[in-house]
Amino acid sequence: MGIFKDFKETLDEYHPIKENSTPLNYKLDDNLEEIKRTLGNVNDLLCRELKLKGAGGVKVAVLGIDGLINSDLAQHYIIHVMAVDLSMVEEDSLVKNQDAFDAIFNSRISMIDAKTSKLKEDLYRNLLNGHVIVLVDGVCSFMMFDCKGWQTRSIGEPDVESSLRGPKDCFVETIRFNTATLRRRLKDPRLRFDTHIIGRSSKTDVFVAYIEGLTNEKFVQIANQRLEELDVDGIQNTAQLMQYIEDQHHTIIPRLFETERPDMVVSGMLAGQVAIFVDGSPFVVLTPFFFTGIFSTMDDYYNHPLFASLKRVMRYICALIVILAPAFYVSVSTFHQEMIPTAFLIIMMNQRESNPFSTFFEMFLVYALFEIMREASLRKPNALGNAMSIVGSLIVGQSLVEAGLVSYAAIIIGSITTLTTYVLAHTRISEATRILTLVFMIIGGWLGFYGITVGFIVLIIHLCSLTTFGEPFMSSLAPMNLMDQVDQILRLPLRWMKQRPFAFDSHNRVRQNLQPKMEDDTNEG
Amino acid sequence: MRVEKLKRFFSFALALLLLAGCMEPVELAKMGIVVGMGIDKFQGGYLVTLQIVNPAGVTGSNPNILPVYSMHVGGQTLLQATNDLANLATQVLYYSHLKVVVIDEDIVKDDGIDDIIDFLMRHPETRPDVTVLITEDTTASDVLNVVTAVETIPMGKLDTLTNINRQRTGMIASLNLYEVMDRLHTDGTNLVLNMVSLRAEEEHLPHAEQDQKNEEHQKSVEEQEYKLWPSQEEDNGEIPEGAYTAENMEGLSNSEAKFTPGSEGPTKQNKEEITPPMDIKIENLAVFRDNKMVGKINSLEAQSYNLLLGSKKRYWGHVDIGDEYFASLLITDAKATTQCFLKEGKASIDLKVRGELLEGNYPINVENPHNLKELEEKFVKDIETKTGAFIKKTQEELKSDISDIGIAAYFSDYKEWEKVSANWSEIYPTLDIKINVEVDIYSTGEIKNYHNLR
Repeated sequence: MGIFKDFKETLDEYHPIKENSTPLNYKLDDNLEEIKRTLGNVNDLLCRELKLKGAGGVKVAVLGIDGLINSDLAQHYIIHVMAVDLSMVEEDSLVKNQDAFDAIFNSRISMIDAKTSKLKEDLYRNLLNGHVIVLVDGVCSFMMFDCKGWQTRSIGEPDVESSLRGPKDCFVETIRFNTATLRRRLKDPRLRFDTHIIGRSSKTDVFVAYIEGLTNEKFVQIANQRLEELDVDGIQNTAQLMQYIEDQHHTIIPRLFETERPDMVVSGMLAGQVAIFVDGSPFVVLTPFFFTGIFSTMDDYYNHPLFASLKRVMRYICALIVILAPAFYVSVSTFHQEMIPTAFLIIMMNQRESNPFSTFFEMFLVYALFEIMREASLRKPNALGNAMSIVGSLIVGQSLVEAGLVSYAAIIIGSITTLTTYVLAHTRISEATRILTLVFMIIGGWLGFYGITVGFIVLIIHLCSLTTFGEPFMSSLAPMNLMDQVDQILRLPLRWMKQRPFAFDSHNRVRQNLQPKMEDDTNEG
Repeated sequence: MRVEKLKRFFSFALALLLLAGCMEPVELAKMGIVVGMGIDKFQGGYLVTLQIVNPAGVTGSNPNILPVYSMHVGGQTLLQATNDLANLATQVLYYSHLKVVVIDEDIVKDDGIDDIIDFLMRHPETRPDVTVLITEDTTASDVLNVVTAVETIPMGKLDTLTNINRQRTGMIASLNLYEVMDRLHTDGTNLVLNMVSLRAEEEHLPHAEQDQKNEEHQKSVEEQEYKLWPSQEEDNGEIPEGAYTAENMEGLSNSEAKFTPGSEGPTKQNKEEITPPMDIKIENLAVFRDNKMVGKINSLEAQSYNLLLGSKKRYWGHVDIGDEYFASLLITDAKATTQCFLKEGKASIDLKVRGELLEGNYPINVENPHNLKELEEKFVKDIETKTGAFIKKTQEELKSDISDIGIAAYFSDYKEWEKVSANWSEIYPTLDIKINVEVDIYSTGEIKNYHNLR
């Protein structure tokens, strides 16, 4: 503990802004000097000093960061207004400076987002967040106007979670656009955003979004509490935040969900989930997140129930294939040869005759190769795409077999496993299953089916022991809730989903109008 | 209470996991798959021949080697022999894919089949679906050494012959290891097994010089100790080199020289001719009394055997009408109800047979029900004669109840059965067995009349 304590103290020393939660000075020159000193005479600080013509030459300074503010807006609506005419303050007023301040703020500058404050902390935070600051000589407070105008990415199609029938927009890196996207889809006045600023240096905006009266407060409380406790120098992405705020277990199973699809966030919030937005990240965290959520996509709800259920069951089977197929191959060909049909066994034996390695090592080689290819294709420059596929598939795959290093069967199993990995809708679970593949492969090569069986039992026990925001991770399966089964392993018709999932423990569980007429309709159907 | 039960259940389940076997890894490349096993008589013990797959030969990646090779060793017991074989083999012998076990007829005639079945059932690797066959006028090692034309693995042919053809002809009794053991240890029934023999073209049949060679060979065998491996046979120059991957496998030694295959049998030449000089066939069936083989029935009698057991397979019925005409019936469904009354010393078998008229030249109009009835009666008479002759043979010549009449006796009066079961083989021949046959021709095919209808 001592080590961490020392570390914390050192962290404090290098945060000069923290000491600045003090009011401003009265003198403008002092203020400007101090600001410039604090920011270190940076080259992107814009500072325009004016003398108000109609107010007895009161000195005013307009501050902004170049690139963060929209210069056109600042020029037209702030500097222009003040430079032209301010003849409403009486010349000999004793408090002319304060009058000028009030006049400018209340009746001159027509920006919608305008605030005043006295604290230096607010000044720095807003200045560095794209606000224009107006300081008036002789007044110990300042005005700030939201004048953000930095370059942003336009809203494009989702890259990771593509969908056939769903909407084609996705979240972007600017948190305001994301909350606006959410508002557009969820015009509920009960929608709430709890604001947090995470990171001593990065000062990242983090919003906890929920629907009051629908979302259970305990999740909101846990989210707020964990965010408040978070004291780091900075976060860059949702994925980092997830690692800080998820329940602490030694596991590779993802227990929080990140999505870039607004429709997914809306549907999750309507079910009772809490959404956490992070500035600078196009992903939104949904919490609490349960095991069955791993295998569902938004397309499930847009397709016919039967087809959606088929796809879901297929995803479960695919997860099993990814985890167990290489282990199955290794253990069958070294321990349980009696399970292979004779004709196929002879073919396998013929292929393995010239192979110098054990089956386990052979399978491991294929696994490692595919993993290298995955990583390489992720990191390679886009222009090298074709060369990559030629090297990967043709040269490596074919020549490996011809050189007798691996058999066709191992290549087939490896390819099927890798291909199946991409069926899993959620990238995090597909990464987790890749690890499990390796674990089970080692157990299978060591102990055969006995080891795989024991390993699988341990895996299930482990899954049942996990929690997500204090709730059991396997919720609605274990502990079982029959009413929730309409949307777990199968996706039954939307009309049958009359209540919000029990697992999210919402106070208002009615989801559909349960009028008698409606019920009659469903009964007939 | 429930928690206690659950705890107990899980502790048992965990114990089961700990009891799981199969903890010995064997790499595929180091395995020799045994597909056939031949057991011959040898100096008071057994001569075990194994047929082992040569993967490169089966898949055709190396055309210069045969798909299988065989090796043999003699031993006092089967375990000793198989152990010695494991010692000699360069691979780990793997019995889980064993398809066919061929047993020499001398063993089952003299010593009984019990010990062999016992060994096979106890063996941890063999499966119960192994097909068991008895040799006829040949030795098991010779049967294992015939290269067949269609099937790359010779034992695959025997497997197909017994298991697939059985469903189509009704002339074969196919029993796997489990059924063999079942029939062997059930009172009131007896075992019937297929007999496999070698079929050779005339010019390849053994000649006088071959017999002489066999005598010489017999001497050489007697000189040797239990282990025949490696059995060099320099005098047998007819077999070309390279016929077997294992160098020493050219010579095939027979413990008792009987029918030795022609030179082509165990070589590749055998499948390079349209009519293979040497082939294997299943003709007769071996009938057992208790543990020992007591006689044979031919394939026609085998039909009666299968009919009386009521196995729903295909048979053909044939009836001669006068000297000139005949008619043939394809029997597709047979149902037999066996009853036995021990106190009266009587038994009856009601046989209901359904079939299609397939072949014949009897000039009647088969569209006329009256004519069909007449035809059916002729078939009834024919089947009654044949099955009656078959039952008579089992009673008088074989003295072995292979038609499950003892089981029927047990079901009708088990107290009486307990008294007689010990000496059933003496009581069975004295039974008065009646066979009632019903024939139903349900189809006469597309052609309504015979071509020479008057």
